[in-house]
Amino acid sequence: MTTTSALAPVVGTELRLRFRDASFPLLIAVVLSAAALLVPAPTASYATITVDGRRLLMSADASLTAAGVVLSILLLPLFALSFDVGHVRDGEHGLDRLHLTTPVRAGAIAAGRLGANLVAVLTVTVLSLLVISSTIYARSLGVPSTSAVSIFLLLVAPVAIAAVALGALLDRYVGLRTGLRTFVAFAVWFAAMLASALGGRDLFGVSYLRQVIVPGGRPGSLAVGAISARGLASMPWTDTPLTPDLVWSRTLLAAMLTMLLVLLSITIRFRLGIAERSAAGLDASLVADRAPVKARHVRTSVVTSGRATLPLTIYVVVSRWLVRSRLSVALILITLSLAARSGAASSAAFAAALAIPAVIVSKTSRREAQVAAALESTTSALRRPTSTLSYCWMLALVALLPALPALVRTNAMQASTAVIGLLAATMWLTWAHRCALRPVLGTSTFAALWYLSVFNHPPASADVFGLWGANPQALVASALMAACAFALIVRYDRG
Amino acid sequence: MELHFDGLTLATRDRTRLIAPTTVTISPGVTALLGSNGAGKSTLLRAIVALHPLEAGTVRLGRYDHRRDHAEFLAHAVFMPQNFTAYPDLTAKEFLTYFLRLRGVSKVEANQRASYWLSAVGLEKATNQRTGVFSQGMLQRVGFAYAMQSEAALYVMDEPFAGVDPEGRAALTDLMFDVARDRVVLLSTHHIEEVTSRGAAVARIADGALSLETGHPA
Repeated sequence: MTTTSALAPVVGTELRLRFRDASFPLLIAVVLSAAALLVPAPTASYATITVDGRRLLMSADASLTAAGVVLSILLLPLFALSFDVGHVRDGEHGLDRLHLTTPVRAGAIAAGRLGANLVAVLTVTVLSLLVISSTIYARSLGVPSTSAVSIFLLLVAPVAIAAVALGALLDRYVGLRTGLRTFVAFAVWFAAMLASALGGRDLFGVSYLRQVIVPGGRPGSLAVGAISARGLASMPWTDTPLTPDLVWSRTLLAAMLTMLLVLLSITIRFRLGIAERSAAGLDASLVADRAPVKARHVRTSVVTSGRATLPLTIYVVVSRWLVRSRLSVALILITLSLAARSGAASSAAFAAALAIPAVIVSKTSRREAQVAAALESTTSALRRPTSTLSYCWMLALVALLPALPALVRTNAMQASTAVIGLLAATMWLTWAHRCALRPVLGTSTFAALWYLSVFNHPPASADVFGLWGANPQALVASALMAACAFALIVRYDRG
Repeated sequence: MELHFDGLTLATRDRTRLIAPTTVTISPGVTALLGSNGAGKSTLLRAIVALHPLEAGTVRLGRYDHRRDHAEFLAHAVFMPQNFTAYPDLTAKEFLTYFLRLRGVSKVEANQRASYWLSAVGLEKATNQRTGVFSQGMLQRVGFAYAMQSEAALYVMDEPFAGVDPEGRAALTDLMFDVARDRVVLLSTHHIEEVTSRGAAVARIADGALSLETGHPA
């Protein structure tokens, strides 16, 4: 069996698995929605790029170029956390045993999967290009030129390839540790952004932006992301030349990253046993976990079933969470207390509190499903209205408690937005981890939203966590997000 | 081809000895591997296809050594693990076709073989259903088809009948004995009478030793 003849079935099967996986359409929807938002109307309350505190009035070509830079920044962690080489997946399904006993070389399987991932990310890139171009056309800016399309692809494609490589490395070497995986992906992302901002190795094309926005000079302050644009002055930007320097540097970068993929496919060795270790770990933890749970129920057998057992259930579940994630939660609580002592803005406390459900869910949900099943057989309290919703509410409560001092300091509308936003985030994370079993998707989308909310001063309608003040639009957006997450969970719980 | 163990010595990953140095030749036909729980049956089956390291000795299929001629050995062998699983988002036919194509079978032939074996194991109505909705018994049948369709010289099967109903077991046993006329089938099973009554040889692991109690006629 040659490597090349194995590629076709591996690529075909991998693409089939990707397109049938529920998280892939969701990922496409997230990316395309983000892509549509990357072309703000001239009167929009937000901008994606500002220079020296001024928003840009862009031509069609400039809009496409700007969208390309922002999209490439957004895509790196999202793609890296969404596209793997099937190492963890095969281990969890027990299919590593079958692959390792076929005559095909591991390198061929890795190469085929990396190739399929490239096809998938480039498909999403092209779809994004179509959405952005359509939005530009709908804004009456005209149709972007061929050179602008080339610039867009030169900006985004290398990042997509880098994301595939990073995703493969995370899958192979970080594996089941979802929290660490997300942390590493965002650390690499942050490092890449820092390098771009400092004018070093530029993965995202920020240096090109600097050159073309203010020809002949470096803009003093270039901000890229989701930026509130109310009351900002504006400046025109229309010229986006397809310079030989850009073509050469981006093509070279893409070629080097492709070589990295080839190198990865040669060197990645699939390892047997991730499922066995995982299963053994689960069994052991379940044995260890069940004992105290049963003991507590035996000890309190005088308590009748139904709502009377709710406090006990909450106590058992919450204490488990806190024990499992004690270090991370302790760090967050220290941050919160420092924020409270220094009189920092409530937004800092809300931002820190939002990290609590993410930490707890990522540390406990793999085992939690089994433990919850054990708990549900002993109490009916968790079943009202659905067990997963009760789980979410408890989790939201745990996250809210340390943020209470900040909540009472703020006004009712902002506090409501923060509470509903936190509940929405909790429900989304719980759905992704416990129901859909897509922990990476859940954590990465949450982390991206958290980052955009905390560090980018988004427009009011996108401030879904209520971090930037009281606003009815934020409250509505937050409630909509919570309603969607609520519907996902109820749909799951009712089968 | 015959399966030959030469000085085979097996231990667990924490170096607990499971099988003392053994030299055994297993001829074509069905051979049932017996032993108490924890004796090392599954470990031996996994070691044959190089999923578990040997402490010492060699495993050969015909002239192919399982480590030195790894790819050739695996091209002539197939392993059906315990508690068979499949990609839940693939149909049974897509799953079987994929693994046949990994063995170098052409797309057309892989489709034909997969359809044939799915019918043979009683899953003709579930051919185009995703395996995510299958019961464990149905997955075992898919696993059985997975092994049989490969047309290998050696079939290594760990509890292939687990979770399969009695009628299904009888049908699968018939298929297995048909295939095993000129091939080596080595399996562990709790339904030992069902295979020994059909003339299967017995290999036993007891007290850290592997022995062939009854063999196929030479």
